Amino acid sequence: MSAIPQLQDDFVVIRRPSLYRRLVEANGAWRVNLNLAILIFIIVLGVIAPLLPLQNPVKPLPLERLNPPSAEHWFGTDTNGMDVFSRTIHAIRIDFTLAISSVVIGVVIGAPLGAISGYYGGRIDDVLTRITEVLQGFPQILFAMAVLAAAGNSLINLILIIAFYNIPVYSKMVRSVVAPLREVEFVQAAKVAGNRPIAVVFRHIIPNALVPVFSQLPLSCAYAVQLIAGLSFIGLGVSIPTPEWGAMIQNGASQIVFGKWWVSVFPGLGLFFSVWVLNNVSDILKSLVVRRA
Amino acid sequence: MMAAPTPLITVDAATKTYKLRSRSLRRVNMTALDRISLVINRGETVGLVGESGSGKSTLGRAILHLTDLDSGKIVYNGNEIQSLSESEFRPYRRKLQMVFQNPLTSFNPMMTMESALLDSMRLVSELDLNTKRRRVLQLLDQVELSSRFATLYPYEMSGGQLQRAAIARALAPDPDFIFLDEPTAALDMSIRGQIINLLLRLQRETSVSFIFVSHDLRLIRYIADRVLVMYQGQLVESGDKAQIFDHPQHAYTQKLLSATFVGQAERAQARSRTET
Ligand SMILES: Nc1ncnc2c1ncn2[C@@H]1O[C@H](COP(=O)(O)OP(=O)(O)OP(=O)(O)O)[C@@H](O)[C@H]1O
Ligand SMILES: [Mg+2]
Repeated sequence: MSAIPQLQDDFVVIRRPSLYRRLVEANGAWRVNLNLAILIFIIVLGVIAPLLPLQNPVKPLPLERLNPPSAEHWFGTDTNGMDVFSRTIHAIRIDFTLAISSVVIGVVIGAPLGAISGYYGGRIDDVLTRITEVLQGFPQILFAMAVLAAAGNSLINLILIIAFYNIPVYSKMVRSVVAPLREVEFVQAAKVAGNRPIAVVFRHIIPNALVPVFSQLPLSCAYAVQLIAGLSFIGLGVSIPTPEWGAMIQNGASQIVFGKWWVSVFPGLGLFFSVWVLNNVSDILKSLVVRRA
Repeated sequence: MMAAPTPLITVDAATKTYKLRSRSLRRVNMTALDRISLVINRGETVGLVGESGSGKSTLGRAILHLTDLDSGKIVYNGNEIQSLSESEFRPYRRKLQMVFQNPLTSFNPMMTMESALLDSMRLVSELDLNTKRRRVLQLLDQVELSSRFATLYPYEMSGGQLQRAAIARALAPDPDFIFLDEPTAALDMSIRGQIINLLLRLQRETSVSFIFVSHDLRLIRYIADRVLVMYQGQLVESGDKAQIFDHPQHAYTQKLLSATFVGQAERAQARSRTET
C-alpha cells in the first residue's frame, strides 16, 4: 500500500432532520404530538401508579359495593367494593407488561427466524414458511383456551401464548424484507469485503428490516392488549382481584342492565384509548419505512 | 514493455447454467457461461464486450466466488479457488474486488460511505482504524469526492457519485484484480476521463489487473490491452485489441464494430473537405 499522506480532519458535519422532524413532516405536528403524548402519558401513569395517592386497588370494601362515582370514588366501586379509578390505572401495569413482554419474545424469536429463512432460502425457507402458515391458520382464541385449560391459567402461559402468535408475524415481515436483498449488489459487496455469513445477515441485512419491525411493535402491543383483555373477559388469563381491564369489564358486564355502567365503562375506555393510540403510533412510525430508493 | 507476462487468473472451461421455471412450470435452462476459458495477466487490462445477457456479469461473479460454477476451473495465483468453501476462500477476498454494475444498489442503505469503505477493508489487518479512516478520505479524494461524502448515506448521493464511491471501495483493500462492470456508465465525460486515468495510473503503480466491461468500444479501445467478446454465454473472440478492432473474425464482433464506428470514414472525409 502506497504512502498515505496526512490529511487534516476537515469533516463537514452533515445535519440531517431528526427522527422527530421526519415524523412531523410526514404526519403533521398535531397528530404526532397528540398521539405520542397520550402514549407516554399512559405508560408513565402505569409506571408511577404505586407512587400516586390512589386507593388500594385490590382492597374490597364490603360495605361500599357498586357505589356510583363520587368525590370518594371518582369512578365508583365494583361488585367487590374495590375502587374502579385506582384499578383502571393499575391495570395499565399488568396489561402493558404482559403485552410488551409477549411482543418482545415474539420479535426476538421471529425476526432471526425470518432472516434465516429469507437469506438461505431453499429447503429451510420452505419448512419455516409452511410451519408459519399452519400456526397462523389456527384460531387464536381457541388455541389459547386449549393451552390455558391444559397447561394451567398462569401469567407466564398467557405471555407465551401471545408471544407464540407474534413469532410468525415478525418472521414473515423480516423474511419479506430479507429475501429480495439476497441477490442485491450491496449484499454481494459485503461478501466481497470478507464479511462472514453471520456478519452479512446481522450487519448488512437485518438493519434494513428494523424500521418495518419497529413500526409494527405498537400494533402488536395493541393486539396483545386486546387479546389479554379478551381472554380475561371470558374467565381465562388474568382474574380478579388483579387489576386488568378485561377482567374488570367482565366484572361489571352483568351490572350494566341495572344502570351500574361505571364498573365496565371506565376500564373499557382505558382499553379503547390504549389500543387506539397504539394503532395511531404504529401508523405514524410506518411513514419512516417509505424513504427507500 | 513487460517481460514474459505472468498469469494472475486462469479460467478454464467455466460453465454455469441457471435453471429457471417458465410460467408454464416447464424447466428452462439458461446457459450464462458456456465453457469459458481465459487468462488474465498481472498488470493487464482486459476489455470485455458483449450484448446484454451474454454472461459478462456472471463471469465476474464466478471469478469472485459469488456464484458456484457447474463445471470448470478458476486458478488465482497458482491456487485453485472455485472449489474452495466460503471460509477457505476468505483470505483471497481482499485481493479480488468488483465494481458492481448498478451503483444505486451497490451500497447498504443503512451505512455511510465511510462505514462502507471501512467495511471493505475489514480483512486489511496491517492498518489500524485511524490509518484506514485517512485512507477512506484519500480514496474519496482520488475519485473526485470531497471528504463531505464520507458522512453521506447512499440515498443522499447521485448515481455517478455512487459509482465513483464504488470504485474507491474496490481500490480500498489494495487488490490484485478488479472486475469493473460498466464502471463509467453513469459518469459524465470529464469525470469519466479522470476516473479512467486514475485506474490506469494505479495500474502502473501497483500492477493491479482489470477486466473492464463496457458497451463503449471507443473506451475499450483506449483502455484495454486485450479484448474479449462474449455472445450468448460463449467467448466468441479474444485477442489483441488491434487484431479485434482491425480484423474481427466473428460475425457478432463485426456487427458490433460496424454499429459503433459506422459513418466514421465518411465523417472524416467530410471534415477534410470543409477544412480545405
Ligand atoms: N441469479 C440469476 N438467476 C437466473 N438467471 C440469471 C441470474 N443471473 C443472470 N441470469 C441470466 O444469465 C444470463 C447472463 O446474465 P448476465 O447478468 O451475466 O449478463 P450480462 O452480460 O452482464 O448483461 P448486461 O450487459 O445486461 O449486464 C442472462 O440471460 C440472465 O437472465
Ligand atoms: Mg451485467
